[in-house]
Amino acid sequence: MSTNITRRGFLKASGAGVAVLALSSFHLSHGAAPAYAAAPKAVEYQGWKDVFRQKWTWDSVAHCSHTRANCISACAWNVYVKDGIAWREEQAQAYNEARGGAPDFFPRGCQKGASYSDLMAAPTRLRYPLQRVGERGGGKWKRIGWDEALSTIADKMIDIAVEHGSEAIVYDQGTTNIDFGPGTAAELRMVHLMRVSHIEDWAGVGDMPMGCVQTWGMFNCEGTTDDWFNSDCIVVWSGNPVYTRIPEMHFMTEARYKGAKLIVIAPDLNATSIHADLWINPRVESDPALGLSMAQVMISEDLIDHDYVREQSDLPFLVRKDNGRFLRESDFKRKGRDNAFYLWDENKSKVVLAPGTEGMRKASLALGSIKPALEGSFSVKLADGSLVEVETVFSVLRRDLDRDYTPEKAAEISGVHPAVIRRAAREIAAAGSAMIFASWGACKHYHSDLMHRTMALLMALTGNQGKSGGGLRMAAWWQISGFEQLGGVYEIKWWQNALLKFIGRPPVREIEKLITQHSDADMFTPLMPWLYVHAGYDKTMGKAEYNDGIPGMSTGEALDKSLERGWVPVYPRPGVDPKMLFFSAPNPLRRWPTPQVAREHLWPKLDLIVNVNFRMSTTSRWCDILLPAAGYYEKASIKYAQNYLPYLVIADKAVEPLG
Amino acid sequence: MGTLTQSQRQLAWVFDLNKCIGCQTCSVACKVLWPGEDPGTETMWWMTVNTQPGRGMPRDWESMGGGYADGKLQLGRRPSAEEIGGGWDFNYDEVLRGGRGRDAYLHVTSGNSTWGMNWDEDEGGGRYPNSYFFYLPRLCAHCTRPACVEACPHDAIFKREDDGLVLINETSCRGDGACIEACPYKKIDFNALRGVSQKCIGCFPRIDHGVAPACVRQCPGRAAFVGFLDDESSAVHKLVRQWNVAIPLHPEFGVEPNVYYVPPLAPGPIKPDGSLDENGSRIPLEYLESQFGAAVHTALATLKAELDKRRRGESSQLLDTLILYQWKEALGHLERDPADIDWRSEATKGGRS
Repeated sequence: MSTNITRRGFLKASGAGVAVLALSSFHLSHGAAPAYAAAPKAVEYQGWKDVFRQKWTWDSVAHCSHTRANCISACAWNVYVKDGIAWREEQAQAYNEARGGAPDFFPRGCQKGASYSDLMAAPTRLRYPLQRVGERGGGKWKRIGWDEALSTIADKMIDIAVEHGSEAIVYDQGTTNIDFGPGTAAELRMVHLMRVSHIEDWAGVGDMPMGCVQTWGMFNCEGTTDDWFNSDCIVVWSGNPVYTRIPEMHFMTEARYKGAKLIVIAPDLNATSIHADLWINPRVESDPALGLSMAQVMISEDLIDHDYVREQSDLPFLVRKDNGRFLRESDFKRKGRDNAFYLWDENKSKVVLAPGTEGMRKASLALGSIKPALEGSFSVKLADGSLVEVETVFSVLRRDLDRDYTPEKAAEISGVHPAVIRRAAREIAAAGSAMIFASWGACKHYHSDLMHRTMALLMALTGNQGKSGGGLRMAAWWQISGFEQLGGVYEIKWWQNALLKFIGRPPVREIEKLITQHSDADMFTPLMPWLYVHAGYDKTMGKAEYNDGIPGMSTGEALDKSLERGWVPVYPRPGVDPKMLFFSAPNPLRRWPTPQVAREHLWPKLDLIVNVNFRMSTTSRWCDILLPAAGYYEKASIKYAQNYLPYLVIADKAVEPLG
Repeated sequence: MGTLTQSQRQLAWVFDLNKCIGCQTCSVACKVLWPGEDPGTETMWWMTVNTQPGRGMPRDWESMGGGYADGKLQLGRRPSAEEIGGGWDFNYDEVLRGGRGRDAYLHVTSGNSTWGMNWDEDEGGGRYPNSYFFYLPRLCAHCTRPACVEACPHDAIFKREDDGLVLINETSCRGDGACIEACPYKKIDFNALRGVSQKCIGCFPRIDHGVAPACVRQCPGRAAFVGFLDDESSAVHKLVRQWNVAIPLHPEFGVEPNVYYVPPLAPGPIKPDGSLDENGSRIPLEYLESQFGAAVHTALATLKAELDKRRRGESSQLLDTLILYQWKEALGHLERDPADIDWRSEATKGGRS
């Protein structure tokens, strides 16, 4: 909750914030960094050849990466330093040998990394603190000193916090300038201690794989990228890894040379489609119908992995025909659990509790002697003595698919020929291991949860989820150990730890509770509702014509309802205007949808807009004070790629910051 | 006319077009390392990747002439500045700092804004859904029969004796530009400020220290290979000489280039009713033949046969070479890590000329 505090109290709190910020200057020295000082050399020009030879010399080599870029590729680079300038960079030979028969990781890095030495000294680079002169966006600036800049910002923050509450100060880190290394942790801790409103970055860029969360209760479903090589059938679906996963793409082209089939599902003949063995071009947004018809083919031709489906999926769970709900223990006992479900055991010809669900004590799906029926209708007697008919989820699924999603029917929706749908379904099912690469792009469609769930279904039916070289690969996010504590983000108390040790796994609802507590305490606010409340987006989202009517109301009406019921937290709370925006290098006026609406409705409410950035971005142009950030080669940090790669990069500072 | 001294050994490049992802890391690595953006080199890209079919860079270079016909040197034409394009600068100061942020917009203030090094990226040919394209990385082909050498009136271009790199002696070069007219690949640039021709130097300072050229060593798609053609242990030798799957671009130019390509596969075409045309070729075979000559048919047939073998569970030495389990094997004898070089103990000047 927002803190109303006195000026003196605020100073104390922000003093603590500054102390912690200093953590960002942790120097994590790399063991192999050559650190000799170069004696100035006289350049000898003995003809044209030496001009070229002299060009390819350096004083020292620093181990670097692009540490706070919004990139999930964490590539190790060597920066060649000459006369105190990061002159050029080249991918470092820094990885371990290949694992498990896959090709090695060399050389990782793309054209953006290869030109950062140039970009770091580009005309858009910020070199010293700037204060706006004249109207916002007018492009007129005055150079000010760091002391003046920091005092001006701090004074204004104190004024706002005292007058309107600290919640009127809004912090947005976006995803541009976070590396989840010590720098990010320090920044989050500062924000945490200042108790200001905090725009949640993940929802802000639409990266949340909702269908995975709905299906599995979690979103992490990607392994290290060398595992792509182990696949026998790679389905690239709603992603374009040739563009987005440059250092990893070779594992796909090489898997193809190992014998894997590469299927690309995309409406356009894109840069990845051209490398495919089979390119399927559905109509835009018809992917769920295409996927469901592949499921129909797999089921009707019995291409599914029965053992896997019986054990690992909820397809054998029993559903009541009278109300369409799972049959639960509470149907049989007055105080029965509502999260313990049933299977029909073919061995015993009766219902038995399904192992491993949330309501069960033991966290294992192992069936033991149970042989769950995959199909069938059964009669069971409930607590009140009444008989109800139940059937398996699989029976319901088969009936629905046969009715609505035969390849012929899906062809009408998707434009893909039934023979192509059948062929793709058979190839996926026949592969020793098959994976679907969907990536974050798959999260940025309207109703994308339906796409994700279809993909998860295909991987479950064929027994691929959880297999090396198999399964849906969409999202992954792990932080390095200790990050939470350093950033003051999640505080796991000693007794919670002890409890976790005792019960073996945290119940899902406990984790949810912990995360909700954390986001409430830190005044986290998801971007779109925030824009809706504070930035004039009610003018756009509220429009009925922008809505397909499927939820039965417009997005605006849905948001109003959620706000009213407290389902969605928005800070500052509706009724309190944001007074200050504090950006840590994202570029919201480029990333937010319809930024002109924000400029028209949000900007006038703000007394101060501050951006810490290494360049003059679109957003920087519309700020009041700009603080120059160090470039990637100008600071030490840690860069890692969640669990896409089996290592992290510890980056040195190669040169002093410009300016 | 220049005289050609043949080399003892020939260094060659291979690009696997089925692994090339068109990311331009090679182009950028080369640009940052060599031509840079010094006055006179702003528009120079010694390494480029273009989308084929396309007009490329310089625009429509394939029809500018050069090379040999019936054993005779052909002088084609020089590309114009407009056909090269690029070299852009923008009015950053005016928009970002000049006080006109609300009414001035970024625009090109120098350079040519109607073409550039990768202007027609991903356009390709054909009609949707049977459109097609592939990426084609290009650099100086360090030809065995370089037309530029013969065309130079000042004998300023030569082939290095021990690796066959073709280099322009910038001291002797008088900037006549005959080499630019003679080069059929249009891979020689003109530095108007200095009055000399400039082009890919084969990263000779790196090679002289045992380090692979930047375009190869920095290729994240692992699509580039380098090595001596006669080094039987090199991937280049295996792909060009042993398997004949790596073939030159436009062999009819007659200059015997030493840059080779594994030709592109593509997903099958789609019939008007939406079903697959199992026997068709998405990239028209006549187009591929116009690029790589008749050898493209055997190269593609070999590649497909080996892929089929692999999918039947058999082994394939060819595909193992292309997979490149050990990345260093792409670099031939040039596998040294440049970060290991300490210039205090290593002579800046290479031992070789």
